[in-house]
Order: sequence, then structure tokens, then C-alpha cells
Amino acid sequence: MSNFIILVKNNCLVFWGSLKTRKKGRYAASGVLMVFLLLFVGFSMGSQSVITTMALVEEGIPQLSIFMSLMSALTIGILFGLMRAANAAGSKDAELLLSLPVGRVTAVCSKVITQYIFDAPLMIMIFAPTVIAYYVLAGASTGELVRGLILTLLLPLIPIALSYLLGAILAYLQEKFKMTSIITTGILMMLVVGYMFVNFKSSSILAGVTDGGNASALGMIEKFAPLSWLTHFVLDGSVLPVIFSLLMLIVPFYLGVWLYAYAFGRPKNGYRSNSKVVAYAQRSPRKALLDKEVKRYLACSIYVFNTAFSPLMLIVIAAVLTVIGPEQLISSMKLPIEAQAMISRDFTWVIIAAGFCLFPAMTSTTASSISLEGKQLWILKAHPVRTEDIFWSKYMLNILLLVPVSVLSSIFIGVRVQMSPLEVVGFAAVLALLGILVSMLGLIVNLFFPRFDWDSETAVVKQSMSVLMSMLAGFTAACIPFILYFTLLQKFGFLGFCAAAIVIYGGLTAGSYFFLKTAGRKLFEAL
Amino acid sequence: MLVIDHLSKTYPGGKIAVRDLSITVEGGDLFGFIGQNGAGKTTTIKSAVGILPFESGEITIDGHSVKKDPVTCKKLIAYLPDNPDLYDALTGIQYLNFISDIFRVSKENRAERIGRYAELLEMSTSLNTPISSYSHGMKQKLALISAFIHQPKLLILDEPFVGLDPKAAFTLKTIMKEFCEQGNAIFFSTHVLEVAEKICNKIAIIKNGELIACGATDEVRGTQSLEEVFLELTEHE
Repeated sequence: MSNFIILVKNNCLVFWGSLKTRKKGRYAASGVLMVFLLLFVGFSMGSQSVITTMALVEEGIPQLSIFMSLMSALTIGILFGLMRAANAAGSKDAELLLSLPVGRVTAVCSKVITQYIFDAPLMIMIFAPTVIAYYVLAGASTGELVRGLILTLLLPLIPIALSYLLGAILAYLQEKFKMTSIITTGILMMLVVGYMFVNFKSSSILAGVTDGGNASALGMIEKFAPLSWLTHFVLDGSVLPVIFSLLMLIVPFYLGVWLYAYAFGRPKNGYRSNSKVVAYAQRSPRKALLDKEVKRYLACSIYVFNTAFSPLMLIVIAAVLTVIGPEQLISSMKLPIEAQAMISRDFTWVIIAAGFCLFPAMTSTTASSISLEGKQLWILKAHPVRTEDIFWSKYMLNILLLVPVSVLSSIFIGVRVQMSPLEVVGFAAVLALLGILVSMLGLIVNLFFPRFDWDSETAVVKQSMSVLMSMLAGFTAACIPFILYFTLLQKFGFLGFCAAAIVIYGGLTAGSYFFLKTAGRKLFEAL
Repeated sequence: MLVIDHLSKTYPGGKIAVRDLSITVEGGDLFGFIGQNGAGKTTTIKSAVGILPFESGEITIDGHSVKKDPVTCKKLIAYLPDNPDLYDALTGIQYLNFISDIFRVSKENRAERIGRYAELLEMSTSLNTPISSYSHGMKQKLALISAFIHQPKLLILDEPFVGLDPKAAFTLKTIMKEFCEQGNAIFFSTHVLEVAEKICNKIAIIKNGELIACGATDEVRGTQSLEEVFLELTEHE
């Protein structure tokens, strides 16, 4: 077996091993879950592609299916690339590999190919069924099929190129500037928000054009230059689109791999200061713990990414609702006029409240905050810190992140929809209490499902059982007053809903606080 | 100062890490704790510090039970693990400020102590740098500085010389001796028998979780070198 194959096999084994925990059951469960997800995603992507192609064949514009499928594949690919960029430069085992009798090129290529193996399946599952469906259902030529399949194999180069290129830029910034983690997070956030905006805009353009007729739909392909090259690569194989497509796929990939190879094994030089002037700031232990949590939070891009989404969405929803108003919202739902007339003022407000409660319930910094202590847990355990203070600092971070935004948003919306002062206060109190409750629930769940043996923070922040369970717990808790309102309390109006929600969230928060003080404390001490 | 009384610790799965171990460290003691890999040194140390819960026995620090009154015990001690993983997101000085805040050390005192130990361990110019860029030795030095910030009565160190350069190792030995001369105590594990023989006034040897020798260094060693005694004791069942 060649060194290259051995290295690729080892990379896959390392990935598989990272899913392992001491418990055999979880190991098996991870495997089953992965296979299930792969089959599920593959089936749904495949069937979706076939359905879309069939519909477009009937409309007489089957070419659009290739274009739309390419757009979906690129959307996923670019998102992959962006999310991975922060950790893309270098490799943890580079020194070990370079110390072995293995060529540098072989080691680097094995890493790139492994990345390809991980990226390719999803993109292939999105694009390949469309190509095949297009060939079978639209009677395309064999040339189109072959070119489509070649493009399917080339598409995963895009996320790899993007992550390596962006990773190299971020690594450069980390060497040159202080507070690089915040800069990295800021840049990635801007890129992701920008990406979401472009994606949203292109989807709405697409929807508008398809409503406008076949000629307009096909003409629209030409408006999206890089995508049109790829589409023509498959559809007609003419010289210029083929050259442009290959250049677009291969040049950034080559450059990205070159930069990755350049950084491979070289020591990562973080920002260094030789200043002897140090600042001695004195704070209370609680404040010191909270300060540590904030710094830890801002230092981890993926953590910020995952949890800043909720407050960000609250701001966006509040801004949108303040501008367009609830009437516009209801009319955009395209409900029959009779149904619109039946919707009461209070009912609308409860619907708005549901939208506002959904996001805080879904993410919480606390769901992974204990796990993120990782190998540094000894610091908290070996020092004279009260467990209550540790808990306080952890849920306070989420509260600070969520509650002020929630309260301000609710006040803006309350004023915009002309709620009475009491209703505004009730609405704000509901959101504030939910923010506190979700923060505590996340911590409790993480105490039950801690994970300290991680290599990458992503494993804890995005893929841990605690985050999943916390999302479920938060969502379930958030739903209770809404279920009550829609089944029993509608006659009491919006204030009745607020009162019920305050009692329920308040009771659950008090229960969670009591749990943390008693059983939670014991759970932490046993870690 | 530190009394470990009939300590036993079994890990989930039934592995007995420490069995009926008793050690007493008094004020002024520089107590070396030696044993092979996996003998139970780190488990004993982590139990003494309050990191690991233990099922039987009692550990007290200055009369306070580690089990019943952990926070008071932790205020009296400083602990340095064998591989100090510190908060990479912080700079050296931010970490030291964090530890100072936990121990409620005043601004003036922390400035004086951090300045002194940073100078001794040649870390003054690295304190504004993120810990993520530190070498293992620098992390070890930073953890050492943090250990002295609140002037503990007892230092519990797990392999403190690993990763230190020769000069820093010499400085640490000097600091340790001075610390004990002031009536404080140090309980530390090490694999470097020459160091233990040279600086410790008391030594304990642990094998498979059981204490096989304990007492004044001269008594344990007898007429042989500590290395010879250690090999003899640990090789024979």
C-alpha cells in the first residue's frame, strides 16, 4: 500500500475515532446516525432533484434544473468553506507527518484528498441526481451527461479552495494583529451575513423570473455569470464556458492548496508583545469569572457563530416588523380575506411573540459552556471558586447576549403595533424570562451531557448531544404557553397570554435555579 | 498542614488507583512523592486538591476537610498540574489577574508578586502575549507564577520540573526551598530522583496505589542512593 493511501486511510480513521467515546453504545449510535443521515439526505436530495426536473420538463425549460441544482450545490459548498475557514490553515498532525519518511507533497495531498472525501458526498448528492434526471427525463445527449458528471466531481473543489484561501488570510491576520479572534469572528460573521443576503436576493430574483415565463427564465441564467459558465459547461460544452469554468474551479483550488502546503508544518506564530507594561485590574471573583467567559466566547468564532444567530435574528425581525408592520406581515402570508378578517389584534401579537420566542429558545451559549472548559476544567476545580459563581458566570453570558436585545426588540415592536404600556411590559417580561430560562436549561443539559475529550471546538459547539438536547428542551419549554393560549386561553387576549407565559417561564426558571443550586452543583463536582 | 488519612480511590470500572494511603506533610516540609507511571501519584494529588472525589479516607488541609470544606482548603493551597492547560484565549497577564481576582489579591500585592516571580522566571516580556502562543515551558512558568500570587501555605505540584529549561528549573528549586524555609510546605510528585534526593527532607514512594516507603529522606534512602532504593522497592513484589 502506498504512503499516500496509508495516510488517507489514517485521516479517515482519525475522524472516525473522534466520534468514539468510551461508551460503545454511543459509538454505534454515531455510526448509525451518520449512515441514516447520509441515506436520508441522499434520498431527499435525489427525489427533490427528480421532482424539480420533471416539473421543469413539463414547463419546457429543463435546462433550468441544472442551473438551480448548481446554485444549491454551490450554496452548500460555499457555506462549508466559510464555516471551516477559521481552522483551515495548517494541520495538527503536520509535525508528526513531516517527521515520518513521507514526502511533504504526499502528506499535503493526503489531507486535501481527505477533505475532498468529506465534502464531495453532499455536493454529489445534490447535483448528480439532477444531471441523471436531466439526461433521462429531458432526453439530453451523452455528452451532456458526461460533462455533468465531470462537473459533479469538480464542484467539491470550491469549498476546499475557499476554506484554504480564507484560512490563509485569517492566519496572516492572526500573526499581525492583537485581538485576532474577534477580527476573525467579525470577518466570518460579515461573510456569512453577506452570503445569506446574496442567497436571499438570488432566490427572490429566481422566484420572480420563473413567474415571468420561459424565455425570461432561460435568459436569467445569463445574468449570474459564474453560474452561467458552469451551466453552459454542462448544457452545450462550448469553448469559452468550459475554459472559464475550469479556470474558476482549478485556479483558486491550486492557489488554496499551495498556501495550505506552504503553511503545513510551519509553526503558527500568534501575535506577540514584548511590552513589560502590564495592567493590573482588580475585580470580584464573579466579575472575573464572567470576564473570562466573555473572552472565551469571543475567542471562538464557531461559538459566536452558533449562538449570536438568535439575537441577530431578533434584531432583524424587530427591524423588519417595525418597518413593514404586522398588517403587511399578515397579507404576505397570502391568507384568504375571510381568514385575515378573523385574525384578531391579540392573536396577531401572540403570533409575533411566537416568532420572537422561537430564536432565543433554539440557541444558548450555556449548552456547551461546561464542555468547552475541556482540559482547563482543572482551573475551576482547583481554585477556591463557588460552584454557584461558576454557574452564574456561564448563564449570565447568555443572558447578557440575549435579554437586552429581546427586551429592546419587544419594546420597539410593542410601540409599533400600539400595545398598551402594560402589554409592552408583559411582552418584554415574557422574552426576558424565556432568555433566563433557556440560559439555565442549557447549563443543566450540559451538566448531564458534558464532553471534555474534544480536539476541535466545533465538536462541542455544533455536534454535541448537549447542544441538540438543549435546543429540544428550550423549544419545548418555550412552546408550553403558546399551546395553552391556542387551546384554552384565547379569550383572555394578549395580556392573558403574557400572564400565563410569565407564570410558566418564571416557574420553570425558579425550578431550574433550584436544580442548579442542589443537584446541578453535585453534578458539577462529580465531573 | 496536609494529612492524607487512609485514602482509597477506585475509578469507574473497578480500577483501584489508590489503596489505604496515609501521608502527613508538616509545615516546613519539602515532601517528594515518587512512583512509577500509573502508580497513583496524580490521583492522590488530584484528590488532595479537591479535583477528584474519593470514596474512603479523609484529607485535611490545615485542619479543614477537603470533602466538607473544599473552598476553604483551596484558599490555603496552590496546585500545579503536570500539564497545565491554561486559557488560550487570555494573555498571560489576563490569566494572572483572573487568578488574583479569585483569591481576592489586592492590586498592589498582585503587582508586586507577579512582577517578582515574572522577573525570576524570565516571563516579564511575555505577559501581554496570548497564552495560545506560549511553549509548554512558558505555560508551566505562568502556572507557577499564578501559584505564588496568593501566598499559599501549601503548594501541591505534579511534576513541576517537566518542560522547564535548566535555569528555570534551578530557579524553581531555589524558590521551593525558600518557600519551605518560611514555614510553608510543598508536596510534589517527580520522576527526577536526583532532584528529590537533593532538595526533599521527606519522601514517599508509591507503587500500584500503595505506599511502600515514607519518611525522612535519609531514613528512606539509608546508605544507598534514592535511585537504588526506588528500583529495589519497585522491582520486587
